[in-house]
This record gives sequence, structure tokens and C-alpha cells, in this order.
Amino acid sequence: MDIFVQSSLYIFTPIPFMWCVLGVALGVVVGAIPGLSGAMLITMTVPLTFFMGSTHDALILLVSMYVGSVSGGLISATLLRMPGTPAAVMTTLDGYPMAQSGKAGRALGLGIMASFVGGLVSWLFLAGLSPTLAVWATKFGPWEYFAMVLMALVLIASVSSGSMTKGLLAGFLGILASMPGVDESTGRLRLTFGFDEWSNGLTLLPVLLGVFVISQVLKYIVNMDAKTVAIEASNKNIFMTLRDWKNQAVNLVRSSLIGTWIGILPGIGASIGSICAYSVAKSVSKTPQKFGTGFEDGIVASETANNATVGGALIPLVTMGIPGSVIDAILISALLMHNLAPGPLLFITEPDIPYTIIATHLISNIVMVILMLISVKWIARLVLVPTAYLMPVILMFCIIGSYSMQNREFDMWIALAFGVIGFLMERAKIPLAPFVIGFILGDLAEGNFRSGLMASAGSIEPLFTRPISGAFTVITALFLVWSIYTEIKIGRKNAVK
Amino acid sequence: MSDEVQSAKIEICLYAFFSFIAFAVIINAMSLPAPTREPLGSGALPQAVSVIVILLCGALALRAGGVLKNARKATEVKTNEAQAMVKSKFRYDRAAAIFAYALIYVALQQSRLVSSGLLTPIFLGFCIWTLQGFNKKAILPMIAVAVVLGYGTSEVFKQIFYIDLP
Repeated sequence: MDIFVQSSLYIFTPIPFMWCVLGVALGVVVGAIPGLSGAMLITMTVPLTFFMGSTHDALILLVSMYVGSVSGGLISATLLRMPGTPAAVMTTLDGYPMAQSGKAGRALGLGIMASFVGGLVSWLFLAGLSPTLAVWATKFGPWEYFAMVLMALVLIASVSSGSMTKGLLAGFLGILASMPGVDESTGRLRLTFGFDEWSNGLTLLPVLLGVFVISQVLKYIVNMDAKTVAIEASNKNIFMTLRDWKNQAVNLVRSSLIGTWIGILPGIGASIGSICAYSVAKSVSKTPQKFGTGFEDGIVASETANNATVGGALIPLVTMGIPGSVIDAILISALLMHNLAPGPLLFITEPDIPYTIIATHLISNIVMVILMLISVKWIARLVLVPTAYLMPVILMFCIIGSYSMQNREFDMWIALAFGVIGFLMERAKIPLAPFVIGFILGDLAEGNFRSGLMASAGSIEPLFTRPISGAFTVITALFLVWSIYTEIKIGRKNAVK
Repeated sequence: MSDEVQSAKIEICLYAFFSFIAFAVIINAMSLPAPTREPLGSGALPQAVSVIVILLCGALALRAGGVLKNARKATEVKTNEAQAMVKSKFRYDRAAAIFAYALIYVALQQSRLVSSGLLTPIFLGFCIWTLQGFNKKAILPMIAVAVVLGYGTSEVFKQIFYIDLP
């Protein structure tokens, strides 16, 4: 508790607080601009955080961006019918019709307050569960870690848009991409194909910049001609009344819990949380036919849940070093690049790091609600920023950013190559998230699998017989079977059509 | 439908590329020495993952092939497809041009023949002008933005972050 208070007080000192406000503001703006996402912003910012001098300040900036970007998607979803981030896709269904009927201010107000409540409830879980879970996770051995990474990959592959097979392919490609370089178990070089530059493996940041940013820039340029009709934002009725709070109380709590739970599941992010909460709200509603026509409950369910996933997803990150979402995977890579080993031991060796993340999540939510309520009208104007200027600038930052990590020209080529691969993968509807999770967790999975095998004299029996790893393996198998069944069912339906 | 055909073709090419990479990994991993003090050794897992990748690529390529086969049966597709190709070619051209500029920019950075302070504004300028459809009216704002952001960013990275840019 003392460390949490200290971390919170630290954030309120001038420089860290400035990073927090800046992070939320940039996150909201980037989240609001269709085509840009929090993952892009955070990936581009990671190399700059090395020059900040303090790891704590870097984390404050990155976590604030995370909170801001998930919240900002609401603006373009409501005013343009284009979700600024995938997490806001369900908000478009009711936000835009409501804005069209002259209630843009009310739609935005509901979304902002719902985002705040979702963030707050998930923070309660984050702050309450994390220390206990971290102690529990210290009991994890190599088999538990291996089973958990496997579960994360299968979970994200099964909920990926398109098909699970494509999700699995992306995940295994990510693992394969993590393998060249020095084999940590033997210290031997492998899969370098004669390139000396590959002896350290593919560097994390250029790969992330390529897959998440350059590919999106190319995608955006390809689709640049799409015309959008924007509705002007207003501050009218932006504040929720007591009656609104009373009417939405159950929806807020339910969607927060759904979002938090979905967030905790490794690998699954805000968009799934928002879809689940929206579907549940619709199915329990007395007037389900109103959903999709500008119904307040729809906006509240979607926005509460997508922000709740942020806190939920931070739980496996700070306690076990397992990403709850793609942005968490980038945060893990940021921790690694700052020479910190994410995982349960972080709570013991450097407790101020996880508590800084926890405190930042709370404070950035408060900053977000104030900032958005005051300035949503002006932020909304940035939504229509000319992309002919924006995209080249982003591309330039990616190229220089990938070089700046190690002053190595090879990294710029890696970023460009993975940009094209990411672009083609998206074009072929192969999800990028499992690739990144596989790439980041590949080392962890392989290292633990091999350690486990050494400890058990080459037997994989402990994977099934140890209680925790056994439970994870069963969950993985169930998800796999369920996903295969669903895919076959959908395939047959399509064939009949 | 035309988009489906195009996607299926891209998918098949991509799966062939991934399979080729995975195959190369299998071959390369074969040259790694056998394990001595642990059960698996350095090569076993890359090979296993590569085999899974090849199998998944095979399954997905078959599925994409099925889509392609069905789509070709449709009669009216051809005209739609031709129209879509004309429309989409323009958009892909623009992305390809920007990517080509990026390749040249990186190659020149690597060669260290031109200063980054000069190269970055030129790169930005070309990209912006291309995205503006080579509109003459956009030249002045393009130059202003390119010079300020390109030169500024380059100098910030060099002078403040001490990055070894040319």
C-alpha cells in the first residue's frame, strides 16, 4: 500500500504528471483518428522513452497513452461512423445514429462517462488482485509458463477475426520469427542464414514498427479515397444526470465486469470485450430491437467494456508477464527494452514498477474523463486531419525510430520488410495480433519448454499432471476443439449458401 | 466477388512464401549439431514449428484454392473484376510509390552519401506530393511541412538524442 501511495504521489509531481496528461491527450487524439491506433502510437513512442531518463516516466507515458487511445475511439465512432480504434467498433452501431439525430453531445457524454466507469471498476480489480496473483504466480514453474503461453496463443487465435487456422498460422509464424539468433539454452547461433546482423535475432522494435505501424500506413494509403461525412460535435447534454446513472447502473457494472474478465484472459483485447458486453446487454434488454438505432444502452455497454479491458489486461502483465492484449505485448517489450523482466518477481525485486503501472491506470482515467469532457468538441476537429501529411510523417518516424534503437541500418530494412509482410497478412485476413504475441512470447515458451524437459528427463507428462499447467492445457484443448467445431460449422453454412 | 478472387490469389502467394521460409528453416536447422546435455537441442523446435507452419499453410492454401475455383465459375465476374482492378490499381500504385520512396530513403541513409537533414525533407516532400495527387497547388504547403518536420526531426534525433544519422 505504501508503495502504491508513493507511486501515486510521484505521478502528481510536475514532470510525471505532464507525461500523464500528454500521454492521455495524444492517446485520445490518435484513438480518435481513424486508421491510427494506440498500438501504433505506443510502438512509435517506445524508442523515444529511452531518452526520458526514467523508466517510471516512460511507463507513465505509455500506460496513459493506452488509456487515452481506447477512450478516443469513441469520438470518430460517434461522429464519423468509423471506429478510431477496433475497440470502438460496437459504439458506431448506436453512437452514429444518435449523433445523426442531433444528440452528438449526449452520445459522447455517455461514452466518456461509461469509459471512466469501466476504467475505474477494472482498476479496482487490477489493484486488488495483482499483488495476490503475483505471489501465486511465483509458484509457477516452466511447465506452467509454457502452458500459459500456449493458452494465450490459442485464445487469441480462436477469437481472431477471419478464422482460427489463420490465427494459429500467425501465432506460429511469430514464434518462428523469434527463433533466429543465439539459442539461449545452448549459447549457439542458429538460423542466421549467414547474416551476421541476425546473430542477435530480429530486434523487437523494428518488427513491431513494421507489423503494427508501417503496414497500417500502407493500408491507409490504399484506402485513402474513402469519403466520410462528419457530424459536428457539441457539448450539449454531455453530462449524465442522476436519472441516467440510475438507469444505466446495472449495465455499467455488468459491462465493466465482462470487460475486465475478457481483459484478464491472455491475448484477448478491447474489441472482443466490447462485442461481448454489447451482445449481453442486447440479449438481456427488454427492448433489444432498439439496439443499433441510436440506443443509449448500446453505447454504454460498448464503451464501459472496452475501457474495462485495459485494467483487466494489465493484470496478467504485471503479475505474470503475459500480455492481456496486443498493446500489453508492446508494453512488455518496452519493459524488456528497459532491462526489466516482466513477471511475478517484479513485485518482489522492483515493486515500484508494477505499482507505477497500477497508479498510472487510475490517474490517467481521471485525467481522461476531465480532458475529454472539456475538450471533446475541439478534439473532434482533429479527426479530419489531412492524412496526406500525417502518413508520411508517421513513416519517417518509423524508419528513424527503428534505426535509433541500436544505430543499425539493418533494423530499418527489417521494419520495412515486416511492414510489407504485415500489410499482406492483413490483406489476406491473417490477424496480426497472434503474430506479435507469438513473436514476443516465443522465447519464453521455448525456454520454459526446454527447461521443463530437462527437469523431467525428456518427459512431457508434467504438462498434464501438474495441477496448474494441467488446467491451462485443458482450457487450451477446449478452446481448440470449440474453435475447430465453429469453423467447420461456418464453413458448411457458407458451402450451402 | 472480384475482391474475393484477388484476396485468394494474394493468400496463395503468401502461403507459398511462408512455406518456403519454413522449409528453409528446416533445412538450416538440420545443420545444427545434435543435443548433448538436453533432450531437444537447438534445431528441434524450429523444425517442429516450421512443419506446423507448412501444414497450416497447406490447409489454408487449399481453402483459398477452393474459393478461387468457385469464383471463376461465376460469369459476370469478369467485367466487375476488370472495373475493380482499374479502381484498385490506382490505389495500390500510390502505396507502392510511397514504399519505393521509403526503400530509396533507407538505401541512401545507409550509403551515408547525403545528410539526413537534407534527405528526410526530400523524402517527406515526395511522399506528401504523391499522396496529394501531384497537385501543383499543394507544392508550397508541402515544402513548408517537409522542411520543418523533416529537417526538424532529423536534427532533434541527431543533436538531442545523439542518434548517429548521416
